[in-house]
Amino acid sequence: MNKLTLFGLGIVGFFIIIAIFAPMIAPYNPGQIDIENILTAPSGSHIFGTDSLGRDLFSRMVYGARISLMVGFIAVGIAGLIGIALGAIAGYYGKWVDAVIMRFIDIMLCFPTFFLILAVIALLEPSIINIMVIIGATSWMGMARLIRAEILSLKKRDFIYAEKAIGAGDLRIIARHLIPNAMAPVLVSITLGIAGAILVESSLSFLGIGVQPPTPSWGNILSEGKAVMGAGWWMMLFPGLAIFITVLGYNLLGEGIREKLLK
Amino acid sequence: MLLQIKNLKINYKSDNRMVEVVRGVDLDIDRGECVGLIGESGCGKTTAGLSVTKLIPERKGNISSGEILFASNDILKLNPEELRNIRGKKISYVFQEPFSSLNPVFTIYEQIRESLEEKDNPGRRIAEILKSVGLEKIIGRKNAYPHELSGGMQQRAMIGMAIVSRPDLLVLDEPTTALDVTVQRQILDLIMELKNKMNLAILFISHDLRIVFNIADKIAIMYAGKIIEFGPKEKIVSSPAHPYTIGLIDSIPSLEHRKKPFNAISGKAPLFSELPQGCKFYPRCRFRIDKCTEKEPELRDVSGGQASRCIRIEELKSNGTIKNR
Amino acid sequence: MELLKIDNLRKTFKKHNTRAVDDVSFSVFKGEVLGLVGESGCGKSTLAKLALRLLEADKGSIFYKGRDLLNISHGDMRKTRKDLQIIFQDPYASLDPRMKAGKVIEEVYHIHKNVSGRERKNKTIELLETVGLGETYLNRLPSELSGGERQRIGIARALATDPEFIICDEPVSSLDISVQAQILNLLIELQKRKNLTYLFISHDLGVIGSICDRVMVMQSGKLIESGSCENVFKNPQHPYTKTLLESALLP
Repeated sequence: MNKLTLFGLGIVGFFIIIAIFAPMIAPYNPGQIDIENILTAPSGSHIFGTDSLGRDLFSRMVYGARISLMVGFIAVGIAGLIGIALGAIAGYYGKWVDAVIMRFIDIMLCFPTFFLILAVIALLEPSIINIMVIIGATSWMGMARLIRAEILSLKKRDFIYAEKAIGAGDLRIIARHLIPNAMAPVLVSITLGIAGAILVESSLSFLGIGVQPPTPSWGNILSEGKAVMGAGWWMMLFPGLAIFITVLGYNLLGEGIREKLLK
Repeated sequence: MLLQIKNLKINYKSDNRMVEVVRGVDLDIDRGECVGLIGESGCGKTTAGLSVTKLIPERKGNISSGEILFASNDILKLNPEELRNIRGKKISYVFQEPFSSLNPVFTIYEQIRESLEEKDNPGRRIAEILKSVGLEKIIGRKNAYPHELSGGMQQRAMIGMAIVSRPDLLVLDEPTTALDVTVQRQILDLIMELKNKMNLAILFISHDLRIVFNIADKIAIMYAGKIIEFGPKEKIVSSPAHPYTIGLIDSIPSLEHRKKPFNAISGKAPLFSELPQGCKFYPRCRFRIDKCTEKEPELRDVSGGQASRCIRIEELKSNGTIKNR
Repeated sequence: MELLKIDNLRKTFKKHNTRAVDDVSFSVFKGEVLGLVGESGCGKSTLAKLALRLLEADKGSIFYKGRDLLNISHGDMRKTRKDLQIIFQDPYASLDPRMKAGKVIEEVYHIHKNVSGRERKNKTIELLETVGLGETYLNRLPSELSGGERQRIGIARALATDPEFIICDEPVSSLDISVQAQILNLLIELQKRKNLTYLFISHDLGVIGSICDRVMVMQSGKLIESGSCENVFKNPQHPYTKTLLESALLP
């Protein structure tokens, strides 16, 4: 595995561990308000400084990691379920089923995804669940196409005819034989998709329609940071860096997987 | 003697390790002579064939020792420029899959012209080549692309490109395996015709005994990286001198065989990383005795030009266990 | 007794716009080995898949022991599949690369539920032994096996449903000559022991001659000659058959 990929994997792993062990890592309660220490710069007792309500930024960042990763994983999980299922069905059955699903994909792709998400969130309330579902429901198209392409060629291989010959039903063939063998390019899509989902969530939260305060999210911390830009540079730097590094990590990992597949 | 391979040893990368897959091969080929190299998959024959003009990529394998004398010059000692003068010019190759060897984006004309030495009036020479390989239909069709030709025609085009420079030696590695039986016949006839017309030396590598028996003058049979039998075709066909050869011949399917079980060779070929002691064919040999495991037998003369690595062959023939066909 | 009866079977592939299988009719009788010989692209593999409804024919009928295979329910077809099996040519492509050898065979029991839990492993081992492998192969992946071993797994899978009729689609064409002989021996032995019927497809006349009772010759989607092996080989009628025999390099 090349060094960059390893680096990406390291970053991804690092943040996953932080997210899982948040309660143990965070020195303070992320919601603990401390009026006497509003907007203090990074120091010994608050290594990332405090925000406009005196809350420890480091602790908020650590819990924010949980949110970002959770949204990333679940949103992509939803996208994966929809995309893999539709793509597999389209690829396997072909003919009109394929035509209908492909047109549906084309229609979905017509929408500028982010604005679609904005519109939906504006209509519903910006809860974490809504965000995860809406991101998932608008980012499955790429995976569907990938799986469909793999399955179109896989289904002509003899081992699939062999499965039919021994009497295997369509569900067994699709679920146990086609999809597992077609997953390789989808893995790349999933990895890069997590990065994308994290970015979307951060953007929504930054705009104020994502994760709502007081729940900490890197996006809404960044948003706060913008409001107090002059007075608290740490409020923009740390969440900005965190988002940047996380997305970089997933991208490097995704590219690494893609290169391995191309061999 | 045009080509003399002496004690050739080649290491090849397998599963991230270097293994010796050609373990000391000697082979001579003269002008006007077709030498067949028979062996099953993984025996090292393709590697040996590629090594004749050092075609094995460095990261995949290397020639560890031996000599390859071509017109008395050791190919292994030539510098890159001298090597380039031989590859494709004095020694040409024809491989199994013509479609993969032909460049799909260039016309047949362009690809033949690329190999021409005479740069002026290429048309005449190209027409000559096309005629000599039976591709008269394409003469004049300057826009013929490889995918427009059938498999047989593509292979004829490959052969054409190989003989453009009037080579001394032609190395063919499974040239008809991917072709239909009727086309195969035509290509084999073409190769024979060219051999006679141009007094070519031919190294014909294949796993298909039937083809090699049909086309070769002399035959070498390879097993586990070494030649285990060698001799004139007539001798090998009528009185094979090694249990492996006998087993292979017994495995040839035909009407005469009808529903009678084959006297098949049991087991499978050994991995180069796990070769047994002594004779490498021992585990699968129906004539084996303990003595066979003592040391790997030498390739020795057993009768007028025929050589074998089996220590028991004379005994088995004289006591009637092995009969001639 | 007539096991399989094919009448006027036709299949055209839109992409190629030629009739891959052009009005083909023939019968296969119980206990015989019927050969189908032809060069690449003649339609023989397509015919094999059509006969088992792995591909849908455009026209024609397929009767197995009197049952009209093109007009039965999904469930009945599934049951019929137990009797009609197939072995493919390419041992590298006919096994799921991610499935262990034992599971390949056991899956058949899962699908047909004809063998219960504990018995499954025993039957699987028994089958592996029948095809010349053994218990040690249970957990091997296809990538760990040689071409001959993979083909044996394919044969074991076909035998798992206890079939009556097996279509062998070029089962030895991708194998080395010595392995080819082993597999042909296995197929001959199984045929005799279990009174199987084979439709044996190959482009290799030598192989056909060594195992078949009767043979049909196919060219461009049509059956152009058929008869007993002896007759067709020694007394070919059709010019194409003669060309095939001449090119065959038969010893």
